[in-house]
Amino acid sequence: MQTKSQGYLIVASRKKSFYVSALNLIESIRDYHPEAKFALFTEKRFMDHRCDDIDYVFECGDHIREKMYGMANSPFDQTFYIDADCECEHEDIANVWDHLKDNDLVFVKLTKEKEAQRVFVEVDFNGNSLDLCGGVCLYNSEKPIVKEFMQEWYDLFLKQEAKEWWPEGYPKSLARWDQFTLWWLTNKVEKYKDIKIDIFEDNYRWNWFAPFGFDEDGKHRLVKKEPVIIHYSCFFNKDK
Amino acid sequence: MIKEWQTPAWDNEEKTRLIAVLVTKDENGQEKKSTATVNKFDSNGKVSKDWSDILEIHGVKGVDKGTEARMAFRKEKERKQRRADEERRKSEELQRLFNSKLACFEIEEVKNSKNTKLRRKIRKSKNEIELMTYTSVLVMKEYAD
Repeated sequence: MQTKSQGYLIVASRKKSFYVSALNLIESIRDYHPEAKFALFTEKRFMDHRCDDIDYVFECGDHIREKMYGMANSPFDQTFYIDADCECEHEDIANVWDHLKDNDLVFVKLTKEKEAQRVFVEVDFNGNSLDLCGGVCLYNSEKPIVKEFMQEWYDLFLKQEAKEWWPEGYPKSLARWDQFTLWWLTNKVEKYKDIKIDIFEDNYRWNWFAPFGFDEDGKHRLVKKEPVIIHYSCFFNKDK
Repeated sequence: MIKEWQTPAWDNEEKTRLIAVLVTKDENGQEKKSTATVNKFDSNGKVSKDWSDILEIHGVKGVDKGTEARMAFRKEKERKQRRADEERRKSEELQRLFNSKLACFEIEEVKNSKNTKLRRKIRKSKNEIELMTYTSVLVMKEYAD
């Protein structure tokens, strides 16, 4: 039986700081998973000798949401996409693949605790919720429908951002979020209704945002065990 | 209009002013709640009606008890606020440290170094001192090599 290729996918576009952070993320994963394979999507202007020991390096555009383009073009059969401004801090990273099971996509779900609301400002709308977080995504990139989904997520978001597409009756304030596009595709588009989506069992361990904070015993809030992926998104120095 | 005073507490040490929740109900049964400050004496120097009403219902002991409860509530609120401030400070520190780490990895000698052991030490630094120490050691080693 041929084994499926598995790899981590990271996208660093627009700012050099994302590239530097992506390299740090790769190294931090290698600390716990030395045999890991990586695909990095980045702009040509950022590439330097540090790309040499990365398994796949692809050029991407300078759009802020090149991540969906990267996700649609994964060279692996099974892919774990991680935002570039993250760091790996736990050996369980090597077992992330066990969470895919027979699903097509596995996400972290945004929840309603007050600590979570320090990060996610606009989740509920019209009785619905943008509860799938695009910060990390484990997916079955071997399936053509999944890659089509990723490509459409990218294409539709570009239209949404350019004000060429917006469904009637939805708050316009949501147009800045690719999470809305994700919600739309997973809830309203017939073509993707059979895609199997699941949530990581230990949810925020796979995308723990630094502003969640620590309890009085110094333990990470909103998780029972130490996080695997720490996300620095909110205070990350994106200007450089 | 029905008026009811709830949870009164002393608002000064002299016990000549108190604070209480005033609940009013109009003819339609509509209820409104507001916090009111009540002075013992009105502008003519006479004991005010609101003051008399409150003391008649709750008594001095009741107001003392309300004061204790209010102080305990305030202390707890302050404790929670201190805790939240501390948590925010720690979180900001964590994020500042992350940005500093990335800056260290951009120092030419660190950027070009293949010393994975020291690079890992830099990444795992728990504070700025550790970060600067391991970065310095790595830079020195690179020069020595």
